[in-house]
Amino acid sequence: MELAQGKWKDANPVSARCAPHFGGHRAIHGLDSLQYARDMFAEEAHEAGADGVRKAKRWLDATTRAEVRWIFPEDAARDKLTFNWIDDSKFVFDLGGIFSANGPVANKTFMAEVKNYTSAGSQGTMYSEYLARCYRARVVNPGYADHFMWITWHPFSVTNWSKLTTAAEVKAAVLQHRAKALGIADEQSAEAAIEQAVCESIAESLWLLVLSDKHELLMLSPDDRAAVIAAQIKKAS
Amino acid sequence: MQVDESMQAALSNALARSSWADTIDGVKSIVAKHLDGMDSSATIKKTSFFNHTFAPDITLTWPNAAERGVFLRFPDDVSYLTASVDGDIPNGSMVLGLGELEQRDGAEALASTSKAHETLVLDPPGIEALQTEKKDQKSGLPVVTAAVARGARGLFGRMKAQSVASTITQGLSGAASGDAEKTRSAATVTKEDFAPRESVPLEHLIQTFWIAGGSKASEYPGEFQARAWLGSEELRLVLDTAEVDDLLFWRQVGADVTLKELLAISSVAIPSNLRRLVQANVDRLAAKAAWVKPEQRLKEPEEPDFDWSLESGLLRLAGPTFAVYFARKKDRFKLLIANNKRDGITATDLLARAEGLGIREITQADTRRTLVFKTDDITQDSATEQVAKSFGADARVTKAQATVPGGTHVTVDFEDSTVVAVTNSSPSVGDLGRTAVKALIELDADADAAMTAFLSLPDEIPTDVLGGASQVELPEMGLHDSPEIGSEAEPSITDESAENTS
Repeated sequence: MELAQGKWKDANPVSARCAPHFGGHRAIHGLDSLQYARDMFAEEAHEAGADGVRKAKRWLDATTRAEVRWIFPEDAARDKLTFNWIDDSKFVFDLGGIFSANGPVANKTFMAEVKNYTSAGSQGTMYSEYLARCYRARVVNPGYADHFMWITWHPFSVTNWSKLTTAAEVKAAVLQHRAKALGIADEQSAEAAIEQAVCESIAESLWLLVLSDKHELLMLSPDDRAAVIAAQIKKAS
Repeated sequence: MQVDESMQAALSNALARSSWADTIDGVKSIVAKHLDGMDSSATIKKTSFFNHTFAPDITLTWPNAAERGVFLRFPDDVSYLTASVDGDIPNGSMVLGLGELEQRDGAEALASTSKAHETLVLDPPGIEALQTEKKDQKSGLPVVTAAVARGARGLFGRMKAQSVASTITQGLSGAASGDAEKTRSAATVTKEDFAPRESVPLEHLIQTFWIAGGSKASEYPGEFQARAWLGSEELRLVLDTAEVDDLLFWRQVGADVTLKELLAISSVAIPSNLRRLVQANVDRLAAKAAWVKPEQRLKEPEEPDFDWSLESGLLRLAGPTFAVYFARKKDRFKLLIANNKRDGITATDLLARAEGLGIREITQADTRRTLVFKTDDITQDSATEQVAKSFGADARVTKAQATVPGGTHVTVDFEDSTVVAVTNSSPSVGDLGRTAVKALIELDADADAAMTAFLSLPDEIPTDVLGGASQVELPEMGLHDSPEIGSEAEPSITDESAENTS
């Protein structure tokens, strides 16, 4: 499989196709591709990461309650999942989709970070940056992603687990990554600049999902799934 | 379908839209347009899903075929796509790559896996390869592309699509001319590249062309199917596949065709084929009833004076000053009759046009009285005129019993403008049409001669291929030899005669 990093190098990653309404989400012509690649989470460049994204998509689609429409690193998904930090460097979510047309989150969009890990690894550190990304994405384009998911196969930061989806945690993460999220170096100035309402809205839209391979055994059988999908198609037509 | 912009370029533009909804709607519209270009008979519906692991983006349905789900997939990783075809996408589906697939690494595995699952994987160049040549509606390609949409399997990129299309279209024309090699190649492709649900009718079509072209079933370069007879769907395929101007070909095809199969076809893509089919079988294509409408036909200079067509489930003969509609039952004309009621005609007018109609009974009526007058032939009996005069100026002939050239007795109804067979057999459309027009339309001698000539068998049909009213002897195991044919055709005649009341 071609490495994602290699693709970014030669594929004019976020070209003029980028959504013009994304504020800082612009083309990166001339951007050092290595710098860009370094800005990605490490596993985005690895096959294990891609496999995890596909496993997550398959599982989410199988719930019949969520539909993953875009997955990184598929070329067409790049500008749908990519955002700009305030310094114009890029970050990308692993997948994006929409919830089914029923229930409390009906027709809401979501974006997700996927960690196909067998240990906690450095997820705690990466989760902090992920929260800052969520904040930045919400500020840049408030209506683009209604929910944010962190999907992993191994828990992390277990002593702090119950606080991982709080507004305080979001605020702390933005503060930690203030240079890219806010463009402010000074900590006190940055803290004053953080919008509490945005932190709270993000906290409400955070999903922390820990999957295991056994989850696949809990999927609907193909026949049952087909029946649900057929009913959904009929209902929507 | 005219494709102005390449499908790939159109998809790229759609995918560049910033809004997810706009992107998806744009992509699906482009795909739906191209699918319609492959098979306009398919009902194409977009679902609410996009790039879903298990749910189709689009569904294709046909009146007499299983639904086929269309799954849109990005082309980035062919091995991922192959795994999806192998494990998640239902067998028999269509996968449409949103980018070129045939030249990518892993394409061979994708082709074999999709073939094993009877799934068709298309890419934009593959669809365009099938559509570019479709500009020629008479090449036979539309039938092939529709068959691909319904039941092809494996990976169809540009090269594969072109190869399959040309092999089958050449095989069809080759079969009609007895070319064993081209016929064999086409038969092989239908077996290899189509799921059985589509390969069977496709090969049946090839075999129909083989037999109709005058070749023997025993010399068919493959396994000849015993039930090679024409139902309406097969007949539609033959009519729509390619323009064939050989009347002998249509004479052979017509050996098994009844009005029932013909009227089950709502429309034809190549009108000249239908015209030739009826012309070549005008003596044996049987109808129970005809309804005549006087009308001045507006036609283009290049159009023939007389023509056959299908209209509203009826066979229509258009002439310069009239149209005749043929049906299996008079009931089919109920609405037409109600909206076009006419007075009868005077006995004098009837006598002027009755020569050769074999009229042996007429019903005359005025406001108070009805008289039925029977004789051997009203034109030969001097009493006919006297009886008519005895009624007075208001009397009209409302009905007459006539005999068509084939011997069938018919009732001519001058108020309803119909001619309906009254015996157990149905006359040919040629005989019935001739009697109907002569009895119900005032024609001068030239128009009568032209109409009679058109409703006669063309000179190209030699006497040695003429059979009885419903039989043509083909060499060895021809289309008509299947025992099912006779057993299907006979009851339909009996059923019709049972309902015959005029």
